[in-house]
Amino acid sequence: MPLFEVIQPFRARLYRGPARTVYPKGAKAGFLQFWDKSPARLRVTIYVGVNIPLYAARIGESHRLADGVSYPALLNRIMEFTIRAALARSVDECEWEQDELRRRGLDAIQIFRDGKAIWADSAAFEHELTEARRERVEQRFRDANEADPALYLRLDDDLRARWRAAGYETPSLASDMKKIFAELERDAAERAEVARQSLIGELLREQPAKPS
Amino acid sequence: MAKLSRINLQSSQLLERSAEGTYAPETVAWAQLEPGNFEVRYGFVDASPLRLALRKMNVGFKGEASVPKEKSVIGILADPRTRARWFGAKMDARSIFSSPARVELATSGAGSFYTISIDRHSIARDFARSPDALTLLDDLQQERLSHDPLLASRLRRLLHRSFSISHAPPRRSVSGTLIPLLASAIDRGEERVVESSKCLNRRLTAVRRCETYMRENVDATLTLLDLSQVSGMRSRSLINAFEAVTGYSPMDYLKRIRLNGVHRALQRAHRDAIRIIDVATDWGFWHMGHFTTDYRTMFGETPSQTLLR
Repeated sequence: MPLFEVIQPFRARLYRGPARTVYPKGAKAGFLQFWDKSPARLRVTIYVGVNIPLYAARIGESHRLADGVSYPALLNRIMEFTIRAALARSVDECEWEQDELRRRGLDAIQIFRDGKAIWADSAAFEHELTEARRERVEQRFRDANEADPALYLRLDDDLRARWRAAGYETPSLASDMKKIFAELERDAAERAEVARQSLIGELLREQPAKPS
Repeated sequence: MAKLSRINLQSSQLLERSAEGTYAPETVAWAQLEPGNFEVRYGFVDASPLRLALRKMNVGFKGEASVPKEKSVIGILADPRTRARWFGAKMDARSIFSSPARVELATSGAGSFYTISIDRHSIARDFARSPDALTLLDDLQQERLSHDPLLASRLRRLLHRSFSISHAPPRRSVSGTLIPLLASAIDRGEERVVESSKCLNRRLTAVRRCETYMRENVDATLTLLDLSQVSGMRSRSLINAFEAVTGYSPMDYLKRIRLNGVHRALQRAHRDAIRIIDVATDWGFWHMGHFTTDYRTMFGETPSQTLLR
């Protein structure tokens, strides 16, 4: 059963034009089209329903970063997790999943698109597909798995662009995130130091000049 | 002069194969904790009523086993550089452990151990007049860990020599040297070292509870919070406990246990009777791509290659 996101009429008007322009990036061609005839204005508003791919992401077998979210939301979740992980690390409270992200970068994240596990390694995918074929579970394997190395490259590019926009220049995040972690940890430490100094100053200012 | 030729060691990828004569093989539970193609090389020297064993493991592992009734086990690092824990307590070159019932060992990196399996019944019968043998029998009632550099070094040297000659040490050498040495070493041991340390004991209990829970729920999505509730420890304390006892954080350890479970299932199964996707799912792996990568990193081959062997 495909999942649909129905774009509201005002959005359809906003993006009026060839139907493909209203589809979010990566969406498949329109599956639902409702024609709403408005007799007062004799105008046709198109409600467009598209099945945008929904993503889930995990680190390890237990930690969920995102579940059933669009691609932009997935980027947000990964960024948020990265920031939280770096902050946890800066106070030595880092958990294994957080450290795994730092050590292995995007390689540590298990990504599912519309319920299918996305493989970054096409050769490994083909190898296991051959094995699944031998085991006569090819269709089951295909239903649950898909090779798309480009997705990981796209994630890397888009995340780096977001970090750049936030003021952090970082090399590829594909195989580790040590640099971005280091920068975030340094910033967190600096801010914590400023906050400490500010608190000290504030408390001292509140003391009476002369003892009563 | 004794003929000096190194004893031939057998090799296996299954630790239980090396248990014969020391532990009850059906009670051996173990997991490879570090990447690599696990191999245990082992050999025995029969010096009745003692049975000496040498086991060399090429990567870190954690194993536990029960000692058969009427027997006890004394162990020492064969290579003093081995980094090991016995019931969570750190071992070093000076350490000698003795266990009457169970042994739990974990190593980090390659390691090698000498163990001496002692048939208490035979000792009592054959060495009834030996005060050393009687002391040894008395001390073998409890788990002990001693740290005596001199005795450990002498014991290691003696065992090393036993494994360097082509035949078992003569009985005279067993009664004259090994039994008194073992008696002195164990006598100086700290009785029930695990329970004497409240902190270590608490940590060990928590880790064991979690391990049991992990094994019973391998196919479920376990979180640190679940383990924290099971163990009754705060998350941070549990992480510290796991790192102290196993060398890994709980979730990292869980992943290694799961990978070992799949590996063992694939090793034992007939190629046509099992499907990788089913085994992986049974052990809680949902992303086949990541599972395949992690499996290959851990065992140096893909799941299908394991199945084909």
